[in-house]
Amino acid sequence: MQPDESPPAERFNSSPETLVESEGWLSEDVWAILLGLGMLLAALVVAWTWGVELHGWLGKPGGWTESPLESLTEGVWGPPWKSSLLAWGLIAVAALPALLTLSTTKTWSTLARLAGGLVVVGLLATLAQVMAGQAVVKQYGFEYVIWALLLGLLISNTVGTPQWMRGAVRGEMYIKWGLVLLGAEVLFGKLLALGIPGVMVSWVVTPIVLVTTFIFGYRFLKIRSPSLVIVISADMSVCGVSAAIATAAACRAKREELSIAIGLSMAFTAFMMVAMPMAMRFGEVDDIVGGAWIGGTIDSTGAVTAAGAALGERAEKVATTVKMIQNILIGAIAFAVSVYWAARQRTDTSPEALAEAALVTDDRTGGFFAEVWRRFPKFVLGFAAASIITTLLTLSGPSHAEIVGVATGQFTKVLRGWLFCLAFVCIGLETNFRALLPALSGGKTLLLYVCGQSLNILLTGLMAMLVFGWLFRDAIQWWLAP
Amino acid sequence: MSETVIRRLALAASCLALAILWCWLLPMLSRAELVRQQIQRSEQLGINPAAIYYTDVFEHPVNNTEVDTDAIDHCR
Repeated sequence: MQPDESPPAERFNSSPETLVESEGWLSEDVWAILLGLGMLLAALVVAWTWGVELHGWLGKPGGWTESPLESLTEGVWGPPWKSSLLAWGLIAVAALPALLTLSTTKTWSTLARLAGGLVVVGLLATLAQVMAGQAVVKQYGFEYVIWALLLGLLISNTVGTPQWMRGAVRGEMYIKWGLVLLGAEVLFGKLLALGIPGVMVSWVVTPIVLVTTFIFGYRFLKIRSPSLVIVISADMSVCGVSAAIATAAACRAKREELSIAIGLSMAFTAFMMVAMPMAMRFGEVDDIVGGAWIGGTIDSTGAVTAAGAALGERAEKVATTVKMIQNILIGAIAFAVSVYWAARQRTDTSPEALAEAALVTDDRTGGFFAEVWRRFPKFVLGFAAASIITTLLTLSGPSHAEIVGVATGQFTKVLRGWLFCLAFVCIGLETNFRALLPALSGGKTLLLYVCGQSLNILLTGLMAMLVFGWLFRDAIQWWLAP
Repeated sequence: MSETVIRRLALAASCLALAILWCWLLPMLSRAELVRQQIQRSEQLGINPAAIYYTDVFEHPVNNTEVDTDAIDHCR
């Protein structure tokens, strides 16, 4: 394979500053694991102690139609500004020691600059969430990440990101921390209940589409950056933004590559969310088959729910169930990509790859596995650990499942959302508009997405007809019966 | 005009454009009959089309709880 020709310094966890620091044991990845698992354990203890009383403690700006102020003042569990402030405050307090450790200087003035930077980034993230809460924006599935990215880009490409706040602008750390928390939401137990039909559509078609799209983009379209191709492939074949974030972090993709992938995903999701149910109705596709088809092809979970509902109640239930199983695949995909990427870099002997390798580590001794381990994104282990903890707790009994539900639903999910939002504000603040153009690869990325999604639609449709329309039809109808 | 001033003006103009879009154009669009009906339907069904992950649709009758219960029963 050809190496990616992009400068290594633009990649995840590889800014020159981070590379030097990653030699120590308290790297960004280790901090992400410590903070993520620490927050998860704290959430489980709090949920076990207070249970459902936790409702509304932590939150984010809500939805609004006429005035943006509604999103901060009107909420079911009290004014959202209070719960938002508490959530963001928790993150800021937890992040400060990590940011200070990762800084080159450790003085009181550094601490003050970091705190100031966190306040600015937090305010921009709040604004992004308010923008995403507008009824029309929400209806068409444009999630907060795109607005967070836009706000960051606006500042960095006009007045520029002030030097004093750069220490707090660590998009990669927030992403990895958020991904460890996301791991807590990946419950493998759900697979057991949903059985073979959903697994066949989600877990058979998805890897085929992912690998085929990757090979097509890299070998046939000759897109130079394999990380860009795999991020777009995962984004399109698994579950949209969340899969793009996880895969980008796993393969150390460039920030602008992730930005392009989520931009493509959101544009196509908004279109497919409206077009697919219309096409199904026009083609008089059975609602169960149609639901499975929608669930396996539309990128984002919310859009799948909306598109399924447009076909009917049964279609909605099947669509969201299929999507739920596909969502669970995110952990396996991130793990596989990180292992493959670590091994691929080790075997790549081109000058560019060796130059990058020299930056990552100057110690080339040790065997294959030792070097793969050195290159492996360690945060993936935190993600897996969080998933295993919550899955085992959920399967150990209804009372434990309830604690996990409260801890993830009321606590880690909210914090994960804030972390992703902060991360995309930071990515915007670190990205130059001109850097986005090479990532478009002269329209090849668009072609890759269209071809990959066409294959996805075709294979998912065939599998949905086979499994949901024929092989398991009776069992599914029984499951769907009121 | 210096480059710094131009850059500040560009930021101010972008902020103004965003403010007009979010405070005037989008609220106006949400009052349009077709869009209003779609938004109302989503709200009634508890659907959040902007949900990223399956756990973001907890409010929705997609049966997260039902699935958890089934999974526990299945393991017994």
